[in-house]
Amino acid sequence: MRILKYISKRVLMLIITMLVLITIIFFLFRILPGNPVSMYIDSGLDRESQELLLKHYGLDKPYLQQYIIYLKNLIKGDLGNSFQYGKPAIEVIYERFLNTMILMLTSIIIAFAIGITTGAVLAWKRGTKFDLVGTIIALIVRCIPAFWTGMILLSVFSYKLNILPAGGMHTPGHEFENIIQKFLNIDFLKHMILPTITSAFYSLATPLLVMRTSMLEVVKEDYIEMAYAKGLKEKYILNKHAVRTALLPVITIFAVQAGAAIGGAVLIETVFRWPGMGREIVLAVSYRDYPLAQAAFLLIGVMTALFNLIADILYAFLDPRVALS
Amino acid sequence: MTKTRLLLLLFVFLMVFNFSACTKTEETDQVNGSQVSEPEDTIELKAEEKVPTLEFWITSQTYDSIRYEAGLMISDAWKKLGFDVDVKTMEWTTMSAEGMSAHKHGAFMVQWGGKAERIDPFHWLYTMHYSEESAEGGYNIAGYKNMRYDKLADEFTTIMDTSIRKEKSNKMQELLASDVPQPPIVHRMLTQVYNKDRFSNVMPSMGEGLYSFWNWINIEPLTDDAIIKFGAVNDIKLLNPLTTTTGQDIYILNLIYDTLVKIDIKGQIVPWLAESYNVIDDETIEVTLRDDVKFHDGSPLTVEDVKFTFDFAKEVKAPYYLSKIKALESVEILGDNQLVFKLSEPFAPFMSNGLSLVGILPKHIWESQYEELGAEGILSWPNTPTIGSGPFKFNYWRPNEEMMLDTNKEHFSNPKVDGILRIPYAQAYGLVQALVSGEIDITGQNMLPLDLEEVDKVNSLQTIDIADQGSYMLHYNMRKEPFNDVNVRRALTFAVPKQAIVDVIFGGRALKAFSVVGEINEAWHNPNIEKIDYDMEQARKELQNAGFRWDENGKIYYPENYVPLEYLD
Repeated sequence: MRILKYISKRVLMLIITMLVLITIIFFLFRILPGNPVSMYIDSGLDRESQELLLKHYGLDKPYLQQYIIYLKNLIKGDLGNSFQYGKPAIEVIYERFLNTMILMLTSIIIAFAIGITTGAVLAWKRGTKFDLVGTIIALIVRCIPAFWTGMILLSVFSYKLNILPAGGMHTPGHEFENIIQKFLNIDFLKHMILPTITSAFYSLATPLLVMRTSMLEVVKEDYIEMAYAKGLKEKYILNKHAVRTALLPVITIFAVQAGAAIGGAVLIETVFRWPGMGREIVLAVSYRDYPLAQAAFLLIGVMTALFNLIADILYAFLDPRVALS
Repeated sequence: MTKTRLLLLLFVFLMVFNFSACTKTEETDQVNGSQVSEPEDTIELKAEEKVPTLEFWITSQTYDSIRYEAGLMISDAWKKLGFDVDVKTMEWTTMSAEGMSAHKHGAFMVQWGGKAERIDPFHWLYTMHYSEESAEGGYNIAGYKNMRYDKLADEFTTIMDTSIRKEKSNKMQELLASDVPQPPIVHRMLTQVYNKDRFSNVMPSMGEGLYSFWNWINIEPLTDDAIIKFGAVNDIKLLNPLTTTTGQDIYILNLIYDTLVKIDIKGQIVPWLAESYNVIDDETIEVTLRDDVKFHDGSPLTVEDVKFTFDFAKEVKAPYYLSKIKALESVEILGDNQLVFKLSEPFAPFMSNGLSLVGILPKHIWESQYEELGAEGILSWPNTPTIGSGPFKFNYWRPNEEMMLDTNKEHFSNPKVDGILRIPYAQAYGLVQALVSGEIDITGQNMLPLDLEEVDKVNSLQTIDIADQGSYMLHYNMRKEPFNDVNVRRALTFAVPKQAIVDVIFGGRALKAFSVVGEINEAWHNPNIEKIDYDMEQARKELQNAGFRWDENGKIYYPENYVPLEYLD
């Protein structure tokens, strides 16, 4: 009962957050100088055509009216047409969203799997040379920019050794008929290796360091000492007693990172020519493609909030004290 | 104890560093001052007579390093003349909105593309300099309003006789070269690359390079793999010709749709879908249509489709098409393959800037779509698969991944290749690597000197150079002081180090520009104009002769009883 109340309170807060977010995003883009026509002005559209185009985009109306129209359409599930592509923003996003999700979620799961295990082991062997070297490496990894790793990997595996493709999602000219064919083939997997490694490498250090710190707290607890006193095996104590408790803060990080991953990684997508969300968002902002930019940021917002909600709920289950307070 | 000592040391170090930095700027100020100060000048200069600060906008270095670097070089030269210059780095969208559209700039640079339709210099000479185009949103960015010029421009636009138009064009170029409202600085060299082991007979044009329509029609495969892989930076946006806005979309649409006439590689108008055309008078053009053309879905292209396209564009107020056919009053069908175009007023560039850009749409497809979607909906219609009648057929398009065009074997001008695979890259570096690795065969992207070093290492890659008829222009704002004064504009232009910009920024791959109509555009360029080139002495002299004065710091002041001279007589 308590948990239900806790969840409904969280959901209500989520809705309010979204409303605020929608409003801010809507006006934020319109405050920026310029409009979608100004990006194309050197292609030679005359004054009247520029006005026709603005009218077609619905930008000839006052902001408040535009805002009301936007909200009305949003309730109907219509996010408007992208100015750049002339088709529904949601369609543009859907294509890129799948591409981004498949890359980012894979790499985040890999990063967390490796990060959590390594973090736990380092904390368990705290104070040893192994811990020291491991932590230093983790800190260095955290500081290396993703595009740099990407370029190094590219120059070695693609340009020098020529064993992996240099970018894109498929070999040019590769044809397929449906989504399953698109993602389930060797060609695609080959293209995915380098960007996944790059991205996983970049996101590896955070869960590792958080896990290590969290573990260090846990191993000082009385019940760990109690477990030793009971004569349990070290491996058993590590897995059953320590890691489980220490995982809580890592879950929060996972929620935040997974939510942010929807926005894609602009640099990784650029280096590997990955047709994902990140590049699209940058284009949408610089072309003043309001509907597309709004839809993209809304999606990121919703996903981040949703993952946070899931984390909150998960917390309540993992640690009942959270729901009580 | 040691901590405080360390902090103290750091503090002392910072103080010393600060101090030395300060003295350094003072020194440079003095050096600049002594260069231009006029010791004999003893008259008291009033603060209100000081020439206002020049506001100069440049792009960020990452967006366009050329405009950034050139902007800094130019502003340094202006400072040496005694002007205060406020250099602002701006995002291009903002600069475009505030400058190109709202005309709120002081000075800024734009790189104007030399598209085929601009070979007839209507855009350069009329649109960019006619007084009525100076209103907000118009292309007369400088706000040039010279009555003498306007009269020439009117004649240039309404008289159909090309030899008279050339005469007017020559005079207009002369006026602009001396009045310098928005002087061209350089024409870049288009430096592009293709794989010479796989393809031959490339045909770059003077403004479009390898993007040129004629390149795709003429290029020949040397191997059995006759699909050409074409790399570009960024993807196309949309394929609805009614609302298209970007040059990249238009290049592709021009391959899928046929137009009535085309502009050939030299800028001449040649018949295309029209078998022939006949200019009856200033307002009437008769067109005879080819009878062997079919749309990609197999239905024949007839006069009905031609008439429909123009009527339809007007009815739904299609922004892109309307901007090309403003002068068109009506299209009438005379016979099986005969049409007559009536203009509402004489408009000489109607063929080169109108008919050559409007692709003929299949009536049977667009009419039914229009009924279903309405006037608003049809403008947002994705139009895929795109059915036209052109030399290339739409096969598929996966946004941000690739687009495939097949060859239309039945076309009257049948391309030699089997198809074009267009692959978008996120940045130019990726293109270079793709060329080197053989992932692509050709690119229309302009190569920088650094990229060329890598390209030159590969034997199969061939570099071609062709000058752009478009140019980097420096737009002054004549609505603002002191740019309203022709003497100031001339002096500022004399201070632009054109050769240094060519050598240092372009690595020699550019030409100094003097006329808004490029030198490579032989048919229209006027070589007998005043050539304002880098000359600081002359720049100072222009200002001195007009009575401008300098104070002991070398700062420039207006003449006594100053009345600005807007244009030379």
